[in-house]
Amino acid sequence: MDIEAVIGLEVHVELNTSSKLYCSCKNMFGAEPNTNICPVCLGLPGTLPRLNKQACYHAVKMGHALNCRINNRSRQDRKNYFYPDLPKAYQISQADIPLCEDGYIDIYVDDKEIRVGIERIHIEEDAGKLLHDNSDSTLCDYNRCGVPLIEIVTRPDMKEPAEARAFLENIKSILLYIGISDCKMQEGSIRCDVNVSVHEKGSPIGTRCELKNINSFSAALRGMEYEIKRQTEIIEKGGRIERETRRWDDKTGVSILMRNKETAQDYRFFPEPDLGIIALDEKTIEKLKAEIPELPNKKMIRYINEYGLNASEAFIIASSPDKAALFDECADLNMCSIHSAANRIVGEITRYINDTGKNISETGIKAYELCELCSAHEKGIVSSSGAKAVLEELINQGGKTYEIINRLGLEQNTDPEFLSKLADKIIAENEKSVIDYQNGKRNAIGYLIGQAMKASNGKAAPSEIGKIILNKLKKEN
Amino acid sequence: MEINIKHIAELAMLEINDDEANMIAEEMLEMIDMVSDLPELYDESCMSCEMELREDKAAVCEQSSEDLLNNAVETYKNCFTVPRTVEH
Amino acid sequence: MKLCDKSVTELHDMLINRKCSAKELLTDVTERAKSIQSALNCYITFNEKASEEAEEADRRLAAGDKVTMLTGIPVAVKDNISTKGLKTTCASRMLENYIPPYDATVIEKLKSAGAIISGKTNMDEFAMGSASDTGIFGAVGNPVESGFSAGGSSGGSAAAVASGAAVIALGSDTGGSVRQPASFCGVVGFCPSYGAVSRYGLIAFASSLDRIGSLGRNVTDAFLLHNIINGADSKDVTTIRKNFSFNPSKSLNGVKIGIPNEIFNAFISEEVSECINNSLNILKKHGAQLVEVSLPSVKEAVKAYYIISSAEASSNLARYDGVRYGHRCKVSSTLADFYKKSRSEGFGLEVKRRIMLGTFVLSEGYSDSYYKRAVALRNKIYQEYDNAFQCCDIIASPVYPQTCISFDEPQQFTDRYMSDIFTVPSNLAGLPAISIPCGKSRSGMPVGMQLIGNRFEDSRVFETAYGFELYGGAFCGY
Repeated sequence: MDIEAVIGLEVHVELNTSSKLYCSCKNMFGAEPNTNICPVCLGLPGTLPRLNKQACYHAVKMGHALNCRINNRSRQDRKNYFYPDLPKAYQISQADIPLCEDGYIDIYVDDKEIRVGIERIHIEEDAGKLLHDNSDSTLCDYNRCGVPLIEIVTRPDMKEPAEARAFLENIKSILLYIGISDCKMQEGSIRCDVNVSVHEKGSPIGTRCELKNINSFSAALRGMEYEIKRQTEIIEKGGRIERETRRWDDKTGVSILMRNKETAQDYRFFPEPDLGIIALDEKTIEKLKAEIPELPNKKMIRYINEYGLNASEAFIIASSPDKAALFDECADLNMCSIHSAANRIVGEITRYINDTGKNISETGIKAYELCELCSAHEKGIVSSSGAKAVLEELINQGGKTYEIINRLGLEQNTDPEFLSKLADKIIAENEKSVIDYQNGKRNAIGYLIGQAMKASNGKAAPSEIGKIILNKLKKEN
Repeated sequence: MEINIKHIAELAMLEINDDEANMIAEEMLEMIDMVSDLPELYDESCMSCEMELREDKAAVCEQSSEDLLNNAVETYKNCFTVPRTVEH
Repeated sequence: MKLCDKSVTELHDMLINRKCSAKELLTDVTERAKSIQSALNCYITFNEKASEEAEEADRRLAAGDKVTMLTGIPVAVKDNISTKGLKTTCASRMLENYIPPYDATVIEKLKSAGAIISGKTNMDEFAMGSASDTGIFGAVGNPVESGFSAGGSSGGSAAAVASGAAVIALGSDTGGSVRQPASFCGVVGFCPSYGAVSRYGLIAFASSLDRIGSLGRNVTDAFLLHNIINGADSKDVTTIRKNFSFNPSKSLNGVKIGIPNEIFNAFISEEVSECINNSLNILKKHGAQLVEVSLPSVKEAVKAYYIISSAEASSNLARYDGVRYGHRCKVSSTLADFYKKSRSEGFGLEVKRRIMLGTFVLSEGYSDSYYKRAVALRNKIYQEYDNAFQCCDIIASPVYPQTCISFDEPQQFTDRYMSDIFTVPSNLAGLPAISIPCGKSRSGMPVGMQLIGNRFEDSRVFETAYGFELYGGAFCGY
């Protein structure tokens, strides 16, 4: 049996507004339990919601970034269910008329372009957090209640977990570009639910199961792989897939049944009567569109075409707005080979950022100094190892490239007259090696360069002195 | 028409014993009967008005955390409590 | 005449001329309230701090500092309007011990105007009812004849105003809950346009229908109260920016009064019919013009009303789960058991009935045939009123088909529901409406006439009611 999977995603993103979605409480992470709440987000009797303008604008920007149609009149609805993290026993969300609909995004997976349809993007409020103490009770902390979320719902356009993962990485990168979320995975600012179905090639799409409780992109990947395998096995044994909601347990690596058709939730959606229509005029919608910067996909293609970067370098730089900004600035300065700048961004700088979790603005590196360093290395002013040491200090402490080179005494002597005299001296003092070289022992040149370095206390630029010694030996022949 | 009172009670999180269930079922049928000849209209247009959106400014809440926990019958470690529950 | 029986205008004159103090007035009102409490049961909670508030009002009056028409005037507040530090129970076991940590916007406005909150008045549980007999604190008796109901759900407020246990009072009106008890108790009850008064702090029954209304012994008193509480509020995005004026000298000349034939003949008792016809004649005699208007869908309004109000209530009342506030069951096994026990112990039968109905009409497979059709019908009613107001200024009708509800004769609840036929349409359409005394039954029970105005023409409703009051309507409390 040739079985194919179909994957759709629902991505929840916490927006980085100053205040919550329906009240003026701070939108912040990590306060002591129930110290960042008010009568509104606690759902006290008689309180009413007031919708945050910025949250709507953020959602519209994401809609533009994902090529959606923006509804200039949209509505909010109540999604009713009981759970201790939901103080009103309903979540204010958008059902029938979301802010953004019908978009798409083109992503690249193994150099292949795939278009993933976006069904909708809507705004909704986050729920609180439950803490499981050792006692007989579950504790409720409502600080997170009312934190603004957007939910991005894709069409079932992905066939493999790798595609879904690429989609998620693209979404994260776009969010960072348009600056509407901090995307801190460890704080849960991006979460997703996964819909998976399988079918025999050529047959209609199968019944889907929803996978909840996914806390990281890699967990999503594992969950999808597990679910495809589970469903495939059922189909192969001649069984049928039932529509289910399953909970992914990343620790044990299995999905567990939460709800089936019989116990499915009935959310009883209806229009939120405490709120009016969200009306956005064309001017505002266009203004928000104009604020969208060049997005990573376009940037990546430009880097490949304009600067000849390879796809992996282009992807690493383009997917992070601050790396791309650094790279773009280097390109504008045009002081060094753009490839060496790209190399250092993809290499040492990326490594540092991955290790420390900082972003580029939190390091000391500046585009101008990076270019100075690259050009100094190209000119032989610093050696490769010297350049590494300088870059390390630029990243850690900042400062000026040449000041650091001087302070660390890393400058190499490239003066032709000095190098010529040095070469003469080395050739004269090492007769045996010269003869070896002339007798065909090519590696004798290495010994001569080493001697030159020693004699100059490491100041002679090794590539330069090598060239000069070679020339002189060739002449003697 | 049959109304599944137990199911509705489950959705509404109400405990309805058999006697009450019978009575409420009867009453609901009566009510459903009263409303059953609603005209066949399907106009979903929404009467609500456009609303003004709130500027995104954070403000300190007038009420202290203590004020807001005060009405709860039971709290623990500055949290509200429910019987122990597993993740859903 | 005792102070507690005087009008706001008279009392205001006396207060600013220091002929009486706010403290004396409050004492008079409180004494009256306590003397009739066992017979009528108007109040749930008296405000222990009222006397301090009255002293503060006296200081303001003496200094002539920020004095308004309501400075020093005792106001009774229905017990579903949040008052900071003062128990707000909704007459429910669920909120028996609930003390709001914040004031409703209307309460903030009253306090800054210098009004005194005398206490919190009795009502139907969560405002669901029409006889003020579904709450846990017992029924409210009618001041005229305590064997009859004061009406509901704002029965405590209406009975308090009628009997001098308050000078004026706030009520809430979702389907007639201010107007019907006003009619039964012989006082004026005004239900504003939806959006004219902030709902922030009003404990929700049905959000798209709920209003906070004003009750007084005459039109001017009710207006003076409404005038303080109305206005846009950033905490309630459904409020509108509009200021209402009131020109009490306006005559009835040329006012076009619409008579909706479709509902006029439906099950109105003979006595009510007589009172209304007399009143229409008075209006006509004093210059008003009577015109027939057509509101063909209004006879179905009760159906749409019960579906929509119950649907919203089922969602609004879902938050009462015993966790953050309200009744919490003592013993439970699972989380679901905890929810069910807390809620079932906390809510009374009428509330459960409506939550069940509301849950049903929103549930999968039924939402289309009930909730959505009710909303469509509501839209149609809305449009029919818009059309009707093309050819009239005010629409007149009875408030209630009967003159009273007796505690001794149990009624089928569906019959009770159907009796809301005259009051619910204006709630569905968001229109301002007033109940004004217009006569008495043979047994002496007051009867009210309802005047409905076009959306946001609240001023016109007051002006027409005032005109009618001059010639024919009068306070007819006991």
